[in-house]
Amino acid sequence: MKIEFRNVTFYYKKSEVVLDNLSFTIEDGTMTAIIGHNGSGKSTIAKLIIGLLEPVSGEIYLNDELLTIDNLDEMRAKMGIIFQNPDNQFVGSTVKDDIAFGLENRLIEREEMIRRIEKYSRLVNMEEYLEKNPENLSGGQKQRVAIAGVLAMESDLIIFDESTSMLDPKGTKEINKTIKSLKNMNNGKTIISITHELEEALYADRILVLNGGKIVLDGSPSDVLPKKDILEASGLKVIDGLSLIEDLKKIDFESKDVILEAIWESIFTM
Amino acid sequence: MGINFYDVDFTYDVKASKTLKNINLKINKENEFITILGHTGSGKSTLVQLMNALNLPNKGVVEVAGIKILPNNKEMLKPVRRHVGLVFQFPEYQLFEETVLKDVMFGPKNFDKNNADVELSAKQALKMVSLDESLYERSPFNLSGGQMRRVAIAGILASNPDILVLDEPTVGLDPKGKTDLMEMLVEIQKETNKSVIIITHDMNVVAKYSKRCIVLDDGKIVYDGGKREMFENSELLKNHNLDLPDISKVANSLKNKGLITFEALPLTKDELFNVITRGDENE
Amino acid sequence: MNNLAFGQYYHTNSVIHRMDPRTKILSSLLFMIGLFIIPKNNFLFMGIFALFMVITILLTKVPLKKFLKSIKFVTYLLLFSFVFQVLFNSEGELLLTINHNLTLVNVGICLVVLICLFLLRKKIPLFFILFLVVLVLGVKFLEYPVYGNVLLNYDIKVYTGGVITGAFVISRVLILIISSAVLTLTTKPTDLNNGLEALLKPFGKKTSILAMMISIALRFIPTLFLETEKILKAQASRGVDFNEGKLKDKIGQIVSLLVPMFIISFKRAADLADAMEARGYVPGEKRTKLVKMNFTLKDVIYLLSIILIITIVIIYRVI
Repeated sequence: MKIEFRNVTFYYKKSEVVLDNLSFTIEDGTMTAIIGHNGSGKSTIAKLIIGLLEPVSGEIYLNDELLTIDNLDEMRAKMGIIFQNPDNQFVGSTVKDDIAFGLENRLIEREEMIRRIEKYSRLVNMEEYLEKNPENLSGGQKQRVAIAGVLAMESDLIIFDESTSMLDPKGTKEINKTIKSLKNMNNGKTIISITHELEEALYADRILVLNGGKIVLDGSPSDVLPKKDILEASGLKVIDGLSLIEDLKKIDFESKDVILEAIWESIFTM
Repeated sequence: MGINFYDVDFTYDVKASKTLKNINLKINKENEFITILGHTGSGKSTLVQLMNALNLPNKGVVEVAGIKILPNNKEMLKPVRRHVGLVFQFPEYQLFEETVLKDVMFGPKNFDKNNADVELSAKQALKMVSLDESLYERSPFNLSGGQMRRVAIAGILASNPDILVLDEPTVGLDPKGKTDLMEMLVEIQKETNKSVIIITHDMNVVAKYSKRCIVLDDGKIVYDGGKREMFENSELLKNHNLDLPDISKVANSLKNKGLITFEALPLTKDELFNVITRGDENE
Repeated sequence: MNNLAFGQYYHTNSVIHRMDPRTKILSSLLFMIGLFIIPKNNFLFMGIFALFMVITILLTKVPLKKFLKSIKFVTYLLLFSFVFQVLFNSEGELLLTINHNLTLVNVGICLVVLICLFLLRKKIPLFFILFLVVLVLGVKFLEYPVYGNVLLNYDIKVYTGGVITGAFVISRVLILIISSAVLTLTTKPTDLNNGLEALLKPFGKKTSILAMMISIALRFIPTLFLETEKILKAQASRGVDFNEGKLKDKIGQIVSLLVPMFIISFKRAADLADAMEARGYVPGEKRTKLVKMNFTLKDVIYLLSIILIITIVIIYRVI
């Protein structure tokens, strides 16, 4: 799904502008990471796309069609979002029920529902937990159920809105692995990952860095990540490995280029 | 004084398997900076809740500042909680007053009703967590996530505990918020000499700040010692699913490529920097 | 923490679990109505209801403990209503007369024993049974004018009517409370939602919203209990002691518990509403269902047997 923001401004109070005249385009079938510190407005972008919030001014185009209150429901059918808190989005009383929730809303027939639940629970490795209730699942498992629920809608756009920020390292790894495998499937789905961890943006096609409601950096990971000054000014912390490269660049030593190259490589394979 | 565990067993449900088994532990009242590690469900939170008598042992004795906490002994718990201040993971669990200052005053008021200096100790605590004075009269719910966490920590510090325990204080904060909070805790530890105990999953935090690591797995303490010995013990890391700090991973990958050599595993950026540049000097 | 959330769904896949949620909702409702139209002091019918309940409970294969948990909260209420009936109901024959001779000493001893019991209540296992024994002994003890002048002399007359009605009232409440757990213990919130929605359908389109609300509420009960416990602990860390303090302090303590609970619950509700909306939920709109409700032979049998029992009760009352 192609997403286009044209001069979008959003605020709750006029004195505290969340998004400031924001314009950008996300191409169909790509993975984009939107990063920024807490309160930089990155989650607002997700809520605007999914239509939970309305821009104060400006327009949002989805597949070149203006998003309005009238076509909102129809547009929503083509996208899914995974939120931050695993507990606050688990609607069903079992894994199966929860994956089915969205399908039931979309009037999918029962046989088709069963087929999709089976298919997508397997895709996120939760097929053995279908009858379990949420109290018996870890945070990472609950988030995987949420992903299965979104995938089951077979939508064109999937948004991860800080989906790992409340998880332990194991859960975070599970979710990142799932996102990576979704990306590598190359099935034409558009993925947006909203996060404040630079590490999680490494495998995106493109990174947008947000600060004060504006885009301050825009490019591929290898373009964006070394821009230490701008990242730090945006309240983000540069990955240790990268800041090491920056430090090493300033001095001379044996086989400098090889070592810098090796560090760079190891960051991406971590 | 500090905290001592003698052969402590603990379980939430009598029939369920034990949550903590045979815990023996000695924590000093001063100058400790301990990180407690272990995957989710290993018993970390349960352990720290035994330290301030929110959980009572099923077997064995927990001794806090000379006060013995025995199974089913429900007396004298309040002084224990004053000695050991426990900050929970989410500030939302404790903030409730109309203003930040009032909320921070709540703890000291509970512990000592006749204390006239509650406001003073509250203000001192807020200063320690470097919260701007203009926020004192604000509602705690109108703060950013990082600020709320500072208020919650101040709410415990205000009662002037000897030992400060924090349950995953950095979860959900952005990277800068994390670093700022950790630097603040280090600062508080240095200034007051109080012992600080932190539950964390973040190995970068451990590598940078920890003086002593306690690793829990399946309710047992499987390691108690320095971070360097821990990170160099690859067997231990593997057996208990512990990660290396990012920098150490970079270092290992450089070593495997034959680009650098080192005796001691670099844990921080500066250490790796030195290894790389020193390698140059040697040649 | 789990002992707080009584009546939460317990999975066993028994016959009762597999029954149509509509059957279970309807039969629970009918059963309760039935309990209240049993003619007074008719232990035969009460026995039939009790038998029906016991059979149902055995069929569910859920541990008996789960059903009995809820009784804990009403034991003293039950005791009180029984004593009340025994003391003030003077129907039937005179069963026994207890002649009390109150002196300062024997009243004093009774009071001291009661106070000691009250103070030690948390350290004694099976406290309720001990309490009952002490109560009976105390009533007997007051007959003897131990040392000193008799201050007050009166008779307590116990009639058969009082004992019978007391027992009847107690058994009705007990059956009501225990059986009310059957529905929620054996029906998943989602199924309950489906069942309620189907049953309420004749009353209008928007009733599905109500059914959804009930099922969401049930789904979040365990989460909220866990949360409450964390808040309790967080405030205890700040020196809140719920066992001490004057009334004024107590109010402050309760506020320190309630405010975080409300704040967290509102946040949770807002998040959940967003998540549901994003997944295409529109209140009151038509939805397909993953679970097909199957009204089968076992449902017919179960429902018919309840209807049969109630019909007999009604016929008996009319005649």
